[in-house]
Amino acid sequence: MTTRDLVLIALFAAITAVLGLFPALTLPITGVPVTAQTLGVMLAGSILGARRGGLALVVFLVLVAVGLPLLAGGRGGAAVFSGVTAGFLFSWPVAAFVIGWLTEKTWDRYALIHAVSINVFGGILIVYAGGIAWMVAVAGIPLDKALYGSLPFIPGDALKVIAAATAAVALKRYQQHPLGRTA
Amino acid sequence: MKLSLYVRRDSLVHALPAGWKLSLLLITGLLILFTDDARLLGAGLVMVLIGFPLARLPLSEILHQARPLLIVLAIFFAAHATFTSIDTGTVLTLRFAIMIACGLLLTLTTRVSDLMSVLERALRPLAPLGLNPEKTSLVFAMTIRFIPVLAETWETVRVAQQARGMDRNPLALLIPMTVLTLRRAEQISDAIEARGVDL
Repeated sequence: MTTRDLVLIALFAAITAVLGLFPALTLPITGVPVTAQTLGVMLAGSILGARRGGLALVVFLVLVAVGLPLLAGGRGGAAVFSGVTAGFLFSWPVAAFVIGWLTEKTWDRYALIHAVSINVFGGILIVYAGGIAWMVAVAGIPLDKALYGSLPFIPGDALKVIAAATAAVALKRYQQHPLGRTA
Repeated sequence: MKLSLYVRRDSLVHALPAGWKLSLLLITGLLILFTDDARLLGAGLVMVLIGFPLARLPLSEILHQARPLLIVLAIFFAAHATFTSIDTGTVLTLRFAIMIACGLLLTLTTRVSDLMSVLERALRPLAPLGLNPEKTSLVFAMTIRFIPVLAETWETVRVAQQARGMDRNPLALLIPMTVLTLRRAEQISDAIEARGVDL
């Protein structure tokens, strides 16, 4: 880990926190509140790669756990990690790591189609798998109920995938992407 | 912008060392897994809740933090009462309620800096595994410092794009924001290295 890596980890942990400050958008028709926070997960993975992206989210969650109100809606503290929906939080670092790993793997031909599919896989599938598995295993909620309860949030996540993917590809095109640097 | 949930009060609960409170939270988390007796868990919850008046915390702050968690918990209990059984629902809900109450009590009565130093002490034994405590502390400190800075950058970008009539387009904010952040990473790491900080 170079100094630059540490700074990047801190910056993207901070970006995830700042994204939580945005007021939740309420989606039309479903009326589900969507926060920008998981965009931080997708950005950290898509821009920093596996190790740095995963660690940025670990740092973010540790700061939440020690009592900074950095989660959307100004929540935080140890209590949020024992709730029914804590599985979603725990899956964030894993999702960022996987997004980063796949981004590194496909880097040479990385384009919008890769960016979108990678973020759908990591930022939606993995996050929901973790969140729903926790609901079922820890909270004893029946699987179908957990699934139906989570579905309304998918459209909002799809918007975030498009935003993160477009940003990552734009950075590559403008040669500003950290993974494109020949160190 | 208030960047901590800590509420300063002069109380027994506040005076307990952060390390003890954290250990108590972890021990409680383990203990509640060993019993399925709702009465025992209920007694446990009452014991934890006694901590709140002891800590002299303002009710509004407790409610603000607890409300979203309580709503999820209520739905959770209702779901269990409907689909499994009231008894199972009660036990599981009590377990979650105990952990949420413990977590809230810890967070509201303990300074972030105290918890951070407990964390650093706890992480020290991991140094041989390649976890450098100095680096770790630096990253946490930097993150806390960067949050207001980045919030400001975001505002600057938003105003600049508004002047171009582009502030309704999220990408017109996100791309400059990430580019600026990555450039700033260069400046900051150069500044750290120029000062001879050996990491």
